[in-house]
Amino acid sequence: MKINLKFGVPILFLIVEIFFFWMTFSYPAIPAFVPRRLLVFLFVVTLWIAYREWNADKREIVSFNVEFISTLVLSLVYVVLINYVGYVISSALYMFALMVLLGSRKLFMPFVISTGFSVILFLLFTKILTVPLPHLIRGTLL
Amino acid sequence: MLDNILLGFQSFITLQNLFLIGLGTFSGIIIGALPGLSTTMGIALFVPLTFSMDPLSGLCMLGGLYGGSVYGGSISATLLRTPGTAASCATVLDGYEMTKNGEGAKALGVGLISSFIGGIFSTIILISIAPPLAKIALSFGSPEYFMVALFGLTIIISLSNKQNLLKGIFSGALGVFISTIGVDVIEAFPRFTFGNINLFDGISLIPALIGLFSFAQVLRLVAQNSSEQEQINDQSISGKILPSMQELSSMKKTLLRSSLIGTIVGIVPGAGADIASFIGYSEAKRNSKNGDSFGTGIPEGVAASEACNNAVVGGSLVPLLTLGVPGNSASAVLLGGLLIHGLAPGPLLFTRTPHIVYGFFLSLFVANIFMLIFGLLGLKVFPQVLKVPKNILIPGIVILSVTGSFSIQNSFMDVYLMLFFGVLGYILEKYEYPIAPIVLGLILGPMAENALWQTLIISRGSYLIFFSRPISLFLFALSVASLIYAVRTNLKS
Repeated sequence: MKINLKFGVPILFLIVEIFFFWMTFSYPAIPAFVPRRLLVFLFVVTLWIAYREWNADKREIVSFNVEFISTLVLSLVYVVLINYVGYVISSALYMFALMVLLGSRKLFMPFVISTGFSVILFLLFTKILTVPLPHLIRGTLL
Repeated sequence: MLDNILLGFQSFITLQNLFLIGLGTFSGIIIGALPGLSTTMGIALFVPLTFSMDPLSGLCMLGGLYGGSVYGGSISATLLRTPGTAASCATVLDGYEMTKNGEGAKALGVGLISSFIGGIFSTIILISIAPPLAKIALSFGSPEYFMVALFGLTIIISLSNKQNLLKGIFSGALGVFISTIGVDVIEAFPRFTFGNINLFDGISLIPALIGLFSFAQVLRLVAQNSSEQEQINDQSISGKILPSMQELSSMKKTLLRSSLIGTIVGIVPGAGADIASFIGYSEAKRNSKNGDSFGTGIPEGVAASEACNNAVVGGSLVPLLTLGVPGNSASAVLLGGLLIHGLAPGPLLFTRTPHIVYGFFLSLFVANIFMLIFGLLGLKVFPQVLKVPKNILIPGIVILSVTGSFSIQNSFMDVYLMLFFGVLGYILEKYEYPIAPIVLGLILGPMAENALWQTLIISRGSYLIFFSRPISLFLFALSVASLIYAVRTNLKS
């Protein structure tokens, strides 16, 4: 089955625009003034794009490769994990996992690179640039 | 004035000051190159370091940092498609394309020379005509700011290529709409926040930028085949570095025009290097014989953006020093640095402490020279990042993006927003929606809305005020002309 994915994007945006426009009905007049007009303009433009894309080449369903999905999921897990295990450990784990996923055969180099990179970046931001980053244990590298 | 220049020269030309200018410039380049660390943040971090220094020494270091960081943003913009600072967004458009075409080193060289020329040009303007120019800047009120924003939004058309004009307009409008998220400026009513207090301040620009350019690029790198990335790795490092005199000569009009635009935009308080670089890029594209080639990887595109954003540095110091009105957020932090040292900006600063003022002006020349030297030394080194294998580069960029997004406000909401914009940017680019107009919309949207409401309050709801003030009317006419010209050019093809 062939699906026109190009047409799907403006349709998705149209739905989102209608939803946001509906939200503005509960807003007072002044805060709603600019967003409403913008949404109407966006709606017209999106409709026009949808009309043009309707006749675009039909495409097969695009399959995202395992690496792509894994990168997305791992990135999300990494950000959540920072809160629980601190910046250094989560960054090292993330980099190690992604390096292995993206093709590293041996495990020693990814371990060294991921640990070193995370520590160096942590020291650069916290000690030299004095930008605080989440710790697992305060006053330590972790 | 010549006496003051000589006095300033005698005051600033010490080994200590030269060392501090070099240190500030080098640090600025590093800070600018790291996504998430803005020029403003860099200056804010270094101001406390100047407490123990004498005022001129402190200013010398901060001035070097200011100029260096604006240039530094072009390094990651060109090599990694990740603008280090918002000022380098327009550099991505041709800089990264040049890297893909195997001319990454040359793109860096062009960016460096252009940044140097823009910086020197605006410093000369700063020294020679600061006070009278500041008076014009001060006559800018909210109607004029609205028109500046409107003019900026018409640039969206010239940023979109012919096939995707409609999608470019969509992206720009989307960016402006996204900028309405948060509490509105008049009634402090939360719009589209879904009750999330972290969105009350709106969408932070830097995480959105990092997501749209950096994380989206990571997703593209993972999705693309490996041969394309290897091709980039192999070619860019051995290419020619500096543009030839002939190439520079062919770009001289662009360099001059962009430097002038950057200086003028810098002088206008509220308009920063991010807007300036897009305006400079757009005007270069409009006026160039190779306008159609912009966006495919030509040196002129990089030159336009970089000359413009570095020229903002000198321009932004004009209203700061003469009137105490900062030209942009970076110079606002510099104002803090001045006040800490007991220096009150204004006309009296020029009469009471001319050695400090003119010493600072002259130090900006030296800072630009240091930037050129460090940049030249780094030109062979910076592109080495392209040799890094994809399986190291990708997680490295993500970690840097996460760190950079978090460091703005120490907020994980910014990090989640960065990831969201990354996915959004990836999907939009996959279906041929340009990203640059979204950024322009995000920057100009708040400026336009705030100025609109301020104007309507002043005029008690009458729109005639926009057409009754000469500068506002001029800017409106410029916007209309720009729009008509751009639409005609696009429709003709």
